[in-house]
Amino acid sequence: MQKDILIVDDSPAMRSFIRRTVAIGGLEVGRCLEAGNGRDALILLEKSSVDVILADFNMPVMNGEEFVQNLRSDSRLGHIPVVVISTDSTQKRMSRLQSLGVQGYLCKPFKPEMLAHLLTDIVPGWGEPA
Amino acid sequence: MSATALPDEARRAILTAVPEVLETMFFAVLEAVPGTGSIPASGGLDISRATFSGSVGGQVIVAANTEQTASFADAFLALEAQEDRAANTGLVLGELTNMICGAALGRLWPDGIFSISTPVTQLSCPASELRSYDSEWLEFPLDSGSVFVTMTMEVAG
Repeated sequence: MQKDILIVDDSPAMRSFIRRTVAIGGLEVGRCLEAGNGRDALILLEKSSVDVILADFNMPVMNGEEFVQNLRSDSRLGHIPVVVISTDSTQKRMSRLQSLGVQGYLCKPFKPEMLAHLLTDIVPGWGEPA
Repeated sequence: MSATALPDEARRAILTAVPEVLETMFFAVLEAVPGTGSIPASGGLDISRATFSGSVGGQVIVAANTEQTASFADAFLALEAQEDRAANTGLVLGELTNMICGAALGRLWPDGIFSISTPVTQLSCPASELRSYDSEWLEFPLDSGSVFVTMTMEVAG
């Protein structure tokens, strides 16, 4: 079953790595949208919906926390599951993001299979035969 | 000139964080035990610097030779074409620096709150410039050369 995803990260290299890691994990991707910061991601989401968002925390213009806050306050977008993928592994950060309604948190470095496991837990039906 | 030694806890954090990052996301295994190293006397190195602020401020600098950084780009992005490698080497070295910085900070201050800047990368930097840094470099030997890492911190009074 294909799912549409949005990757939000200021590093093009990391966006590419995530895209490849999702595919290697055996998860079929329909549309893969990309944005370099939270504000650009919100602009993309005005026109397109996705099944899950994978977002970095540290980004210029609008960071991951501000992005999730904006997302959750929008009745049209607030339901989309968000996984934060960040180098920031501090407990305070993780607790703060969980309180904002982030469904998953993956600290870099991570083994590629960990991302696929997390996504199949969060996105219903993903990874199952169509 | 003798370099200023890294604080013990920072040293430990970097010595454990770097191999984890290299092995997990760059599929690179250390060829020898890491420890205090010396930047080569001549030649050029690709370098990347990430500054952090929050509970503590400072920076992490990562340096490696061109062959090694190209190898990182190949592994991280599964590159095959030479032109793709050239375009992505700096970006991947920046991502490596970002991850090392975050992994080290998480070990040093698990209850801290930090913001890490987008790393600034410079390719083919003269080694002599790096040798002028008054800080201890830790060396991580890999198959195509060593990765050098140092960290400076400014703890608020």
